[in-house]
Amino acid sequence: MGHSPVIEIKDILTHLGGRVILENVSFSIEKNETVAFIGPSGAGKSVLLQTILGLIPPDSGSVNVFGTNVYGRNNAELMALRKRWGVLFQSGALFSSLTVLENVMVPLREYTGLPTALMRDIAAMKLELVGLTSADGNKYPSELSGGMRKRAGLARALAMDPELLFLDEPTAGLDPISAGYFDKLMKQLRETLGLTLCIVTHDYDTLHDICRRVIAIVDHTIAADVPVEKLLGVDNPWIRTLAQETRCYGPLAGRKSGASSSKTQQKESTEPFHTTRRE
Amino acid sequence: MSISTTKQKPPLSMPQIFLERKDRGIAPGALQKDNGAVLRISGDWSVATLHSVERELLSLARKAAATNAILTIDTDNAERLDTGAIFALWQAVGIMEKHGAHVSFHAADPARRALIEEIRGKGMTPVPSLSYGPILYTLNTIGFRIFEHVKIMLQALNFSGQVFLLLGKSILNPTRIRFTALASQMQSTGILALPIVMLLTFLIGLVTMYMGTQQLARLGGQEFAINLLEVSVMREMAPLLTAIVIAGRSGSSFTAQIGSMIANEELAAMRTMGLPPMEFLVLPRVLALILMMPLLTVLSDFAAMFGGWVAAKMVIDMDFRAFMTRFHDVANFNNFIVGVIKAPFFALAISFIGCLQGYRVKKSAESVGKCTTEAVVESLFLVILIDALFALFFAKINI
Repeated sequence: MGHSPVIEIKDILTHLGGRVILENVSFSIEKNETVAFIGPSGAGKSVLLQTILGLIPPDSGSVNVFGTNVYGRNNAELMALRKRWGVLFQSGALFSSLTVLENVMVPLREYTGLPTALMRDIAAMKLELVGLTSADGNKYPSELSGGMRKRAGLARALAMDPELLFLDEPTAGLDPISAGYFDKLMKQLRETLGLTLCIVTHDYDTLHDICRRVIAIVDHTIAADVPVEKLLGVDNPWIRTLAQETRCYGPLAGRKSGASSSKTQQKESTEPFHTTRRE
Repeated sequence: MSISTTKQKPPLSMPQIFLERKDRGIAPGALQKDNGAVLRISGDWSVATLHSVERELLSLARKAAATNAILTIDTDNAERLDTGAIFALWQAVGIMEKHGAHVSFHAADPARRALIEEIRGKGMTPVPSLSYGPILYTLNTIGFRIFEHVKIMLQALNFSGQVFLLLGKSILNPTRIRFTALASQMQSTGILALPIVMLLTFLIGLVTMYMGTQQLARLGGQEFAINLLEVSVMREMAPLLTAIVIAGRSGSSFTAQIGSMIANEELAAMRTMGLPPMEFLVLPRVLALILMMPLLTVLSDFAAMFGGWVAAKMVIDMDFRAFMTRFHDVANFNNFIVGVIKAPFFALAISFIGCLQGYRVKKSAESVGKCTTEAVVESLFLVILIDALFALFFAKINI
C-alpha cells in the first residue's frame, strides 16, 4: 500500500497585489486528522485555505489533495476530487436564488442519480443534522439569520458525505449551544466516516474539543505546527500573547452548555488551554 | 502519484443487500413468518452509490417485513456507511415497521452505532413542496403580481415625496448638498457618458440625413432633408436617445450601487452614524442627472448635426459652409428648446427609478440583478411616456 497523505503542501509562495501573502509553507495532513489553522487576521489563513481548494494558484510550490495536484490539468481527476471534499465558507456562501433545501440538493442532483423525492428527504435529513428544521427548507438564504445560513452551508458541505471537510470559522456567530452541537457533530462524523477536518477557527472551544493538531500562521508563514496541548509552549511573539490572553480567563474550560457531550467535559480540566467564552 | 493513490484507496465494491435467515444462512426465497431474519448490507453504502441499490432496498424491506416479525439490519460488512445511506436504511425501517415488523440495527463499531442513532428520526418530516396545480399557480401569480405592483406604487409615492421634499430643502438651503458627491456623480453620469452619447447621436444624424436625401431625391428636393434632420433630431431623436443611453448606463448603475450597499448593510451603517442615505446617495444622483442631461442633449444636437453634414457631404457633396447656412435658414429655435426642456424631466424619471429600485434590493445577489433590470425597463418606459405627453402638450400649445 502506497502511503500518501490527504493533503500535501510543499513550499508555497504566494504574492497578491505585489505583497507576499504566503511564504515557505509546507505541511501534510493524514487521513482522519483534525487540524486547526489559527493566526492573527491578515496573516494568510484564508488565502492558504483557498490555495488548498484550488482557488488561488500559488506562484510556486505544489498542492496535492488525495494525491491529485489541484492545479493540474486532468479535469476528470479534479472533478472526482471535488466530490470528495466539502467546504463551509465563512458566511455560508449559499446560492441566493435557491431555497435552503435546493441549496443542499445541488451536489446531490449533480453527482447522484437518486429520485427527487429521496434527494429532498436526504437534504431535509442533513438540515436536521445541522440543527435546522424542515420548515426552514423552503426559506431563501436572505430570510435566514447569519447562524442559520452557516448551518445551511454546513448541510450543503455535508451533502455528499465528503471524506475531507474544510470549515472556515464554523462556529463564529453561533450561540454556545449550537456551537457545542457543531463540535459534537464534527467529532462524530470524523469518527464514523473517517473524516479529515481542516478548520480555520478563532474559537478556542472548538480548538480544544475537536482538534488535535494546530497550525499557526503568523506573518505569512507557519509559526507552529504542534499538537494542541503544546501550542502555548511555542516560542513566538503572537503565540506568547495568545497564551497570556487565554490564561487571563482562568481555569474554566470548554462549553458549560447543555449541548456539549459529557465525554468532552471530562478531559478538559487537565489541559493547559483555558478559556471561558460565550457563556 | 495517481498510481499510488489508486493503490492506497482500492475502489470500493458496489453496495449490496441480502436477506438472510439467522439459523440457516442465505435464503432468498421460501421465507416463512418466523423470528430472526437478517438484512445484511455490504460494499460501499454512500450517497454517491445509493441510487443503484435504493429500489432493491425498499422492495426487499417490504418482502422481509411481510414474512418476518423481527428483523436485524447488519451493517458490519459495509465498507462505508455514510449519513445518506443510513437515512435510506431508516426509511426502509419505517416501511418495515409499518408492516408490523420489529427492526433493529447491528453495528460492531461504536462510532457507527452512534451515527446510526444520530440520524434516527431526522428528515422524517418532509419539506412541503412548493409546487401546486396550474390553476392555483396562475391565481397565485396574478395575486402576487397585483400585490407587488400596489406595493411598488405606494413605495414610489413615498419615495417621490421624500425626493421632492429634499430637493426643495436643498434649493432653499444649498449647504445641504454634498458637493463632492455631486461632482463625482456629474463626472460619472455626464462627462464619462459623453463619448457614447455623442457617437450614437452622430450616427443617428448621419442615418437620418442619408435616408432623407435618398427619399427626397425622387421629388428633386434633396436639400429639404436638412429640414427633416433639424426637426426630427433636435426635437425628438437627440433628447430621446440621450435619455435611453443614460437610462441604460446610469439608471442601472444607481440601482446596482445602492442595492449592493443595502445588501452589505452599508445603508444601515450610514443611518446609525447619522448620515441620511437620501441626502448622501439619492440627492447627489438626482441633482447630477438633472444638471447633466440638458447639457448632454445640447451636445447630442451638435453631434447629430455634424453627422447630418457628413451624410450630406457623402451623398450630395454639400460643403460645411453651405450646410450650415441652409441649416441656419430652416432652423426653428422652438425645436431646440422643446428638445432641451424635456431633458431634466427624463433625468428626474431615470434617477428616481434607479434609486427607488436600489432601495428595493433585498440581501441577495439575485435581487440586485432583478431590480437593475426593472430599473432600466421602467425608466425607459417612463422616458417614452413623458416624451409622448410632451408631444401632446406642445401640439396643444402649437409650438
